Amino acid sequence: MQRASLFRHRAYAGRVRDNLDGQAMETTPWFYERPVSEVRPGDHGLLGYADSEERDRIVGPYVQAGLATAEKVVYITDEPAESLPGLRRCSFDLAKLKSSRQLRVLSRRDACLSRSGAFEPGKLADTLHREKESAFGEGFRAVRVTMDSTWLMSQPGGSDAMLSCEDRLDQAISPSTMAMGICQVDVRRTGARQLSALRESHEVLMRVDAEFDDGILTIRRIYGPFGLQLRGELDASRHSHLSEHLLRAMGSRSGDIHLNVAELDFIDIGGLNLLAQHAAALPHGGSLILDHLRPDVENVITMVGWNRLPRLRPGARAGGAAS
Amino acid sequence: MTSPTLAAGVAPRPLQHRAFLFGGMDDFLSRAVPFVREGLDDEDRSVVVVVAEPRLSALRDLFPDCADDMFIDASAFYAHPVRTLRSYLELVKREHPLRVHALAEPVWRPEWTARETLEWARYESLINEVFKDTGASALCPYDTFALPPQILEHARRTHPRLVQGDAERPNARFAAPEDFSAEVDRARVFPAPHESEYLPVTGHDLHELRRWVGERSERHGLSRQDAQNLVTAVNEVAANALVHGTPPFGVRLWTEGPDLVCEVGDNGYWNTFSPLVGFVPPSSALENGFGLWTVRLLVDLVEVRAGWDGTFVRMRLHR
Repeated sequence: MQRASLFRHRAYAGRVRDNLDGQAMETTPWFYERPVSEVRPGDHGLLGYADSEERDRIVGPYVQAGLATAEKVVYITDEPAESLPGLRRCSFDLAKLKSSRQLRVLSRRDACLSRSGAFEPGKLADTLHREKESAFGEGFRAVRVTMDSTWLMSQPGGSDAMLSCEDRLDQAISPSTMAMGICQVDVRRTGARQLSALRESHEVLMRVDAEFDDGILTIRRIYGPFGLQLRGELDASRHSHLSEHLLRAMGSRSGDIHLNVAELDFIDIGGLNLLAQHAAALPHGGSLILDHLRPDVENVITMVGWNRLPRLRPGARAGGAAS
Repeated sequence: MTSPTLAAGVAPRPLQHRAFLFGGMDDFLSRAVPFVREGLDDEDRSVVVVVAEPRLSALRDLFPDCADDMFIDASAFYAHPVRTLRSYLELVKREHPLRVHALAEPVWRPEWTARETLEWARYESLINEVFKDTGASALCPYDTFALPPQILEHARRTHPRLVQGDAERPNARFAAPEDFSAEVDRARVFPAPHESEYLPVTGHDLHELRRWVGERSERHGLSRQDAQNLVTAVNEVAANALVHGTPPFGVRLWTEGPDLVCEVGDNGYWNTFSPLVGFVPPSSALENGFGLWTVRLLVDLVEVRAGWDGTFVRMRLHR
């Protein structure tokens, strides 16, 4: 969404990613960040999850959205269907979905392993091709593929195997007008170099859907570090929304809560008061950490002094890697 | 980051706040040197010397063994009354449990408007309130050879004791900070601007107001940071009016010489208004008065007019 900014010449206007173009490349990473509900055919997305809640909040809606419409879902996993994100305690009739071939839960052995149990990129490509080709005839308008590739890390030549797997996926999905895919990777079990290689082989990074978005303020749960991302402008009309989502986040984890405010253009004084109130309520002396504060927004905090905002702390500096 | 001034179980220590009316360098040194020495000899005290040149260099030369950061050039320290008061308080907290022993010469500039001069007089008066229990000792030199009578009169209204020549005496003309501040407020005038822009504030969403102020700040030549500060200040005052005031609400904006002025008005009567509101630094964001105090920090001057015809908060920034 293109935001109306307070001033006309915003140096960071290019960070609004939805209208990515050549001119915005300097300030915009070359990948898109996509909330899961906006995933579309041709997307080959990477989900580097920091914990299972993050994975479930992305894979769950992704799978459910496909099954709720006329789309085929191909899930490559050795887990039983009933335990998968989006399918646990859901209202779908899984047996019926499987027999109509709308839900395809394929074991790794069937989808991409050789007889000896080694990963075989060619077999994965064949599997995907077959599922995609049959979907149209089966009456589905699109195919959603997903696989957790973390296990590949423990394979001989793990990184290479994973990247060749990504290549196959990309070839199968990116040119397609009906296929989309999400590759899941547990970032806790992936090295920094492997992760950056993975990022390079995807043009879409998956994000959870925003918990609140009224066009002025967007609130989104983030993981690694855990907390909320705030975008836009925080003012009195929106305090109660922030409060609600902050309390939820505080209720689900102990310890520090991070607020990624890299794209927060404005915070009102009442908002600082609100953050201080919530910080004071954090158990076990936890802090509320403001990551990537922009200097013009931080100015009001330095003016009053961080010491007047007990248990609110500055975290990662502005311009650092977005989390 | 605890509040040192009112630690539990510690008896409040009274502030000593004296105006020192001197004439010429010799007279200055005859009193300033013993004052500084008294502080240095007392291990319970931390000495700071904030005076203007040439007196700063003269004192520095007389105390060659003292750390350089004990001496602060007053012309840089006294830049913005609300911010200077905050910085002084930080200093007092930092030095705690030592008591600050300050030779503190306020700077008076002939180019200041009557309004600015009054705000600095108010600052001197607020010292009595803000540091009342810190045990700090402040001797504030006033150059009787150079300063206009009006400023010396302010000195007599804002310091409970006077030092002159060899004598030190209680000051009968001293006014309590609240009374002095009210006096300063009565002296203000609020000329209506010849030309101004007006935005009625009708809903509770202030997004449009921020955009309106932001665009005009930029058009009238405020720096990015000043514009953001003004937007934050106006937003706070308007949000406060929406909660406590009475409709109609509106914002008026105009230029006055080098200043950009923005006034938020509502039709309510602020009956609990105190002339000290938003001047005394709150100890945390959770304390009452944090909002208006922050507004006072963000812009150059805030004037609150709480009258029978409504409540008006005028914010001013130098372009």
